[in-house]
Amino acid sequence: MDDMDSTLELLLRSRKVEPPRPGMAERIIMAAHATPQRVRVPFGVWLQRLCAEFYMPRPAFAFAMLLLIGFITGLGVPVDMDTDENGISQPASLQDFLYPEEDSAL
Amino acid sequence: MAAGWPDKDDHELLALLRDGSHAAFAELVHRHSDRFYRLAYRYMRQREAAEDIVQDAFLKLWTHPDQWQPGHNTRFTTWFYRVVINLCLDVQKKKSPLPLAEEFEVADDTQAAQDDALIERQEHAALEAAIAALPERQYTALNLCFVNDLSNQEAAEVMGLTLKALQSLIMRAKAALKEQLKPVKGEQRYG
Repeated sequence: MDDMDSTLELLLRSRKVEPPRPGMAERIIMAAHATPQRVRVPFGVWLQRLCAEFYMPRPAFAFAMLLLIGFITGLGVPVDMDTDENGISQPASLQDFLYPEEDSAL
Repeated sequence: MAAGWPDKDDHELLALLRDGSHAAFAELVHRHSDRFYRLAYRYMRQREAAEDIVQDAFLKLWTHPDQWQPGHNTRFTTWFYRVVINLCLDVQKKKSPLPLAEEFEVADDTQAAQDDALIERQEHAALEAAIAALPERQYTALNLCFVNDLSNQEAAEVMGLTLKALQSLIMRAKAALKEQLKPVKGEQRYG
């Protein structure tokens, strides 16, 4: 290594770096506190969490409530409404349904 | 901070960080932020910009801890130097080139005589200009070896090069610098 080489290395090593403002590390740590972490969740863990979302502490009570809600909803639907082949609601006659043969004889 | 954190190595801290440990993150930041700041400063040449780079890099690590993949015989610092360098280069590409600092203080200013100090300042100014003109990879190699005092082997790992390739880069960088500094040195020290 010649003189120029060693002088150059000395110069390179003596290049001044302005020190950071005090508390740089603390600022970074505080910023992390305000930032949520996004960790990639494995599929197994994801599935487990999904199942936990649907966990029912009282399944029998929940099913009974579901039945009740279904029953009440069913009561609200008009009896004389029916849908034709095209799926359009049409007034349906209860008599037509109960006595179809009588109608055709007439 | 919980007792015992300083005794844990980087890999242990990173495992805790994945579980959301703020204390482990804080320990990593305290342990390494200065060294990454020194590197970022060499690229950004401004204190605030360098601090921002270090903060962004650490926050990336915090929000996406999965980006660090252990088990490839890679040290955390080696990988994180790469993260910092990439962030610096990204920012530099987006912005116009930063002006060189006007004042180049000499580290050992108090001992030097006034004339010598002036000469050294000129040398540093010329050196900074010459370094800024180097190709990106040569610039990175010099910074890693002479600013962050990494061994050639470590610097090669950071840059993803073989040892020989890194040595070749440094040799070319030095040759380019010597060439550019010849007139300055010829007038002052070797004149």
